[in-house]
Amino acid sequence: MSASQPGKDPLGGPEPQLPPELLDVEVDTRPLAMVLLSHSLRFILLAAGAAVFGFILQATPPPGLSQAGERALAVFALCVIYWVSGALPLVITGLLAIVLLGICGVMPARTAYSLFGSEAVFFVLAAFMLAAAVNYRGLGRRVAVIVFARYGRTPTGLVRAIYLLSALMSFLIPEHAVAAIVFPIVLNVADSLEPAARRTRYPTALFLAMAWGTNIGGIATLLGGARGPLALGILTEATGVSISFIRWSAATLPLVAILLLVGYLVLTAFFAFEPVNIEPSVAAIARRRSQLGRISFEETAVALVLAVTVVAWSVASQRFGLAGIAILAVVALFVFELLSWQEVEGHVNWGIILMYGGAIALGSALERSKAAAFMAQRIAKKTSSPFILLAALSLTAQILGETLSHSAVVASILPVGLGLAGRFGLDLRGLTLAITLPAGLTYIMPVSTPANALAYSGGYLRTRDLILPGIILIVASWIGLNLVMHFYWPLIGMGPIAGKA
Amino acid sequence: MDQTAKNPVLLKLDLALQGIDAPAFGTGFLELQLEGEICARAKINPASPFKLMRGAQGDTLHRGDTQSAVRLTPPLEYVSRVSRGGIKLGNIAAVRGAYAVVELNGGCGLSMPGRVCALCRGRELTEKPGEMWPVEDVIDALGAIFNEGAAEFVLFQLGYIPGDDAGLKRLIPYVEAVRRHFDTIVALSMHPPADIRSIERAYASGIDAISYNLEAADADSLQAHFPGRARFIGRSRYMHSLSHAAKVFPSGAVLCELTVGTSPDDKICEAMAELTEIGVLPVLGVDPERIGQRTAQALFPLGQRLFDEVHKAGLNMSWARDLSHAITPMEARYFVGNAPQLPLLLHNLSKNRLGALATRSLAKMRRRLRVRWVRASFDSSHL
Repeated sequence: MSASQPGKDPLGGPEPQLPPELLDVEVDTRPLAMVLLSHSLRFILLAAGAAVFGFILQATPPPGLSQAGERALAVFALCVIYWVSGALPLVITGLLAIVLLGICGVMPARTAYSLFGSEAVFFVLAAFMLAAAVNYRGLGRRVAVIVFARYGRTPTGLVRAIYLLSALMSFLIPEHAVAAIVFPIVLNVADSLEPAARRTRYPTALFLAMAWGTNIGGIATLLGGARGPLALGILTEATGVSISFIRWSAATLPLVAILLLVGYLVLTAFFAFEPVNIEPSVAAIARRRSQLGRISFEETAVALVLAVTVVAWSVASQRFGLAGIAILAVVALFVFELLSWQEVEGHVNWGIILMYGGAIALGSALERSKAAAFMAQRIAKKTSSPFILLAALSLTAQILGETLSHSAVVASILPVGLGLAGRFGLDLRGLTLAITLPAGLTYIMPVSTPANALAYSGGYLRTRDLILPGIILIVASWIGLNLVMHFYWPLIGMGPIAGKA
Repeated sequence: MDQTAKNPVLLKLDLALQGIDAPAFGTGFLELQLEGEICARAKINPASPFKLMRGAQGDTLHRGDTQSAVRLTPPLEYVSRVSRGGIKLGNIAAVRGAYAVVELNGGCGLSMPGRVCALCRGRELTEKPGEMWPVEDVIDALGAIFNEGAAEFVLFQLGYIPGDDAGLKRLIPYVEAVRRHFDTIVALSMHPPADIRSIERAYASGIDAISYNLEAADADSLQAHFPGRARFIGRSRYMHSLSHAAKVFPSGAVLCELTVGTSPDDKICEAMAELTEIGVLPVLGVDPERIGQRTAQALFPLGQRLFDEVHKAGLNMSWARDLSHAITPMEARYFVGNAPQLPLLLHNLSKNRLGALATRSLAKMRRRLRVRWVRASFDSSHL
């Protein structure tokens, strides 16, 4: 092939791009039997879910359980198997739940679909939209860069700045949005380190500061993670009880403070103990700061809307509802052209919204059909202590949250917990928090939360390095939650035993 | 020719070393098929003791008073046809054994006997970049070859292209187009990439077999014969890429050619052991200019060792087949007294129509099972 052939593409031309599907490809090199098993596992789980569903459906209802209750249990069992195993995407299982409730006659289809219109669903939707404005207008990035530049001039100072800022931002916007804002800056900072510093555990500390900060901060308010509004939706639809924005935060903040302190000690003890030169990283942050320029009108306006919204949630959520205030804030963003619909479409996780509708409808069906109470009676036979029960529920949520979607954990455990509340005299709000908060406190696995997944994608984290510090934090979180639950929550009228406040 | 008449691989070696007297064919190389469906390549040489005789009963190869039947690749019609872009199809693709070979860029010889390119001589190929055929014209050429029934597989040869992926990004449109138009096995011969993930992308894109041909067995020989490759690529990258590819591709689908004569025989034996240990199938390249004065008989021990090493490692021998310029492990069974029959049985099964269909289907199924998208697991965290 000579270079003078007609019609040939010169190699000196622009290099073609890889097809997108090949960018993130990897080849499973495990033995073929293992690969086959893992592929068939999904079908086995799908079949197992269907078999359990069919088995419960055709069985005669045991004494104390109505036929509708039994059918609700069948749908619940199917959904738990699919949610926990990931055999189907969470959203599809959520939609399946709504459809099956109608088909199986647990409740009229119209009622099942109407439960989709829960306030919690609209609250989550609006929270995503607010986060989109913070992200697209550059406010989050500006805050992060300014804080890192101001407080991150020493190795531990930089870790502290990333950790605390990630936590504080997660008070106001969903933790996945915080991670998406902070991650590129942390990656830039880590990659700017000298090779010798990159070989230490210091870069791991930077990414963990982001991940652990957002995860701990994410439980502080209803805005930090979508599991909070989901739990609130299930609680409200099933029992009519609600928790205000301010009460939620009042209950969680002491725990958040304890965990932030423990998390920081673990971070510095395990990862940020070696002396490293972070001058190149400081320079990289300074360069980013110089590129920011003056704060724009849009950034100021978004900050203002966010501030007014938080104040309104704190003082007027009983009157207008959390979702109402959030949606009004979104309307304000559109009125002032601070957000476009295209940006909303790109930022909102529509799958989560759909999944929540299904989970809330299922929770409500279990409650209305007395299936939750029936399950609770069965579980209640194992223990008579409300404290042991709460400890067990919170530990289960904590452990499952490490490997499963937090929302799936809440959707699977909370309905059962609510069924147990009456029998053990538990405060419904305290119980809801006892299950929801630990589900969000995850420290080791990349699949457990978007923040962890992003931290791993930086390339500096290895699971085996996180096992010991992660276990320490899991245990600390569980002990901390139980201490706060038993000694602090009664002081603010949230149980854990009803009427004990 | 007594012994060579009984051993078609010895005859293949003899033909490669001494050429063939075939005045009717002018100059250049002839592709022949010997007994046992052994593909051979011989330079036309009027002084060769092997004389090709054409007759109504078929072609025969004569040496002295002994003769053996051979089959010549008939003249192919596609060669003179032109593609939709006005390019002669014979310029785009050639038929070698069962392969339709497409050389995608002309800058690098890449294991073609007798072709030593600028890279091999020690110069990076930046001043005169190669060029690549348009995808549509390559598809025209391959379509014409398959329609004539002249080849079963596609082999892309990609010369040296600077960059971390060694040119994979440029190759992928061709592989995708072949996958879209034909149900065939796609093999690739290229230099190893610096970015190891390119190997996984190559497999995921639809390449079934890959070869990174070291040719020189040891580092000193690589430096002596191919200083450019030693300088710009290095033996360690070859070995690293081969080792990773062996984990990614099916057993026996990662090949490495070791050219006889470029290194001492003991070094070649060591390299064969090293390659089979990491799951790579070695093949012995035969380049008469490098072998020099040695006879085909003298290469017997290398052939024996090739079969023994591959058999000992339990590698699938069926992927390397119909290579006219090299001795494959399956062909090397002719050098072993009592060669085990199972590899041969599997090999023969894969060669018939049903076996070939099964091979293609299994290759596709394996890819479906093994290739996964990282984004899928990332999505599971609901970002």
